[in-house]
Amino acid sequence: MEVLHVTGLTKHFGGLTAVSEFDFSLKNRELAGLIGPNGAGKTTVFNLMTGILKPDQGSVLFQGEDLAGKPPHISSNKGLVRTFQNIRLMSNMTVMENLMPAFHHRINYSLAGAMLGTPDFKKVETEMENTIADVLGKMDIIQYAYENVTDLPYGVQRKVDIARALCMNPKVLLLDEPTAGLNPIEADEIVNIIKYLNENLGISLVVIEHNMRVIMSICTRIVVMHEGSVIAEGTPGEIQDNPDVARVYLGSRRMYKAVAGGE
Amino acid sequence: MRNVNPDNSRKQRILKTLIFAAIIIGILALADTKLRGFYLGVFLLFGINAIACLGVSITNSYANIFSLGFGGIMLMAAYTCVLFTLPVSYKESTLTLPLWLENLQAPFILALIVSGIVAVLSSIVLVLPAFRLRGHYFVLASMGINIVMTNLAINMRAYTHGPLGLRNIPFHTNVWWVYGLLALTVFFVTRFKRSKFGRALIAIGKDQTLAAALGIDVVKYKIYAFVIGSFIVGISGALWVHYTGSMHPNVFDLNFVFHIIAMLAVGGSGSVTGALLGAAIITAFTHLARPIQEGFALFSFDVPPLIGLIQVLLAVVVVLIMIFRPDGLIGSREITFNSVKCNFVMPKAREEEKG
Repeated sequence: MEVLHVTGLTKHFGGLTAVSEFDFSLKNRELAGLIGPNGAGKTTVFNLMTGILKPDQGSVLFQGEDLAGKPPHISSNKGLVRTFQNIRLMSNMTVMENLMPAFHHRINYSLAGAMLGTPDFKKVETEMENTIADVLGKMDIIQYAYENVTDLPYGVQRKVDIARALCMNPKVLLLDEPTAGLNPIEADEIVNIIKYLNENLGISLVVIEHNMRVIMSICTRIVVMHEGSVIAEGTPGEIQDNPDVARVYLGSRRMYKAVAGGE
Repeated sequence: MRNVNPDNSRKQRILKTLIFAAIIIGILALADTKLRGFYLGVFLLFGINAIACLGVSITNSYANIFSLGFGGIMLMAAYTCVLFTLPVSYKESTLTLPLWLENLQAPFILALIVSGIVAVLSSIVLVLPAFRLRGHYFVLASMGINIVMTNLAINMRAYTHGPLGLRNIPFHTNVWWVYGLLALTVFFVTRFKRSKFGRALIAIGKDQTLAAALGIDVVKYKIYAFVIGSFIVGISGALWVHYTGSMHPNVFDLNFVFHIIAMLAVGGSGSVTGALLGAAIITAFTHLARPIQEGFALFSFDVPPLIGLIQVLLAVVVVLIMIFRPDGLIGSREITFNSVKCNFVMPKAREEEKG
């Protein structure tokens, strides 16, 4: 069953076509990868899917509902959740405080209820704190719950970012370069977390990644983008043997010869 | 950090709150009976400024929409309140009002609520640019709105008596009105900050794109911020005018606005107790230090009167705080029973806990 079905997504920035006719579909519990050289339009695709940018054309069907052009909070609340390439944690706040706003949609009490401190308000707030503790426990970062996020190592900040996305109860999670800037050990931990999310929690994922070792080891299907359009799609093995992919990443044989002085 | 002391049972907590409330009421009763004239004025002004600070902090600190337009909103609210409470004979002789408004005499509480609502309505002129402009551009636009409101008050002579101003405003504001409303505001803002609504505003203030990605409706919450902030600020303006007893279009000018901003900057933005601390420091400084600008003798050296010295010194204080404590004296933290106990009363216990 498909949870996410994107057809004909197009976006122009002035004269530049950032994404053109992007088609993509994601099955339930699938783990897909999205790769491509810098400037291929991968992050723009995420921005278009989650409503941070409005597409010029195309539709984003999420569980049968078109989300194209709707404001970003709508898609997040429906369960199409994303993370950001540059983490975007709230500086000088504790890990706990950083995760709390993610529950915004899931908790509902009125302003009056919050003012009077009704039993319902207290119950909901305690449940929220318990869920946060639970999620932090799964990520193995519960010891940092009351630390200032700005003081934490980058690897832990990445985990906090994923934990925050997880707090929103996602059905589809869009991860934008989850291992960027991490050392191999930290990257392996993130890989394990991604596998855990996919296999044990049944979340469908789309992962943008530049680290080929990571993307080839976790994804069942990979989409390659180049200059705004899809140039290849298939299993990791197929992608590795695809001459088009090799050309966009490494350049053509003739180019190589020209640069190397010819042989 | 809410449960530092886990065996702090419910009964004990209620008892503590009651004792604290009793102490506060005792101090207020003492101030009400003992303080007179100038010192009573400073005491009341602290309360009024603190309410204004808390209102402004909702938009400027939590939602991080740095607005200088609240002076204009206070002006609107203050004029509304005055029209409800001025003696009928005075209104007849100085203003040209519709008959129903001229004969209107409302109780103070009703006048306060209506002026709060008018403040909210007039904040629409701030909300609209807030969605189109960001950062410095919005600061400038809001400053312009402040000046526009002042000019509006100067030119709407039928309602405001223009630059000549209004007198004979009844002195309704007393210790109980100011501190009762301050207590309500503190209670409201503290609870608000710790609920999902406050957290949403703080998230928007830190990073708007992130807040939207977390499922927060940014547009809705920015409007909420202006509605709540303007209501509180409007009430503070209405209290102010019933404390001074006179009103003219320049009372909430940029000078006043910068005083409030200085209070937030000094105390610590994003903190209720910080706003109170800042209001206390700046109010006390600008009023109690006033004698030094009237000239004094220093070691047989006659210092001539230097009018405006207080403003210069205030600027120096603000600059020093910006250099050494850029987040304000206590930043975005709060002073609570527990933090006072850990830091001042029982520092040893804290060290043992740490070690």
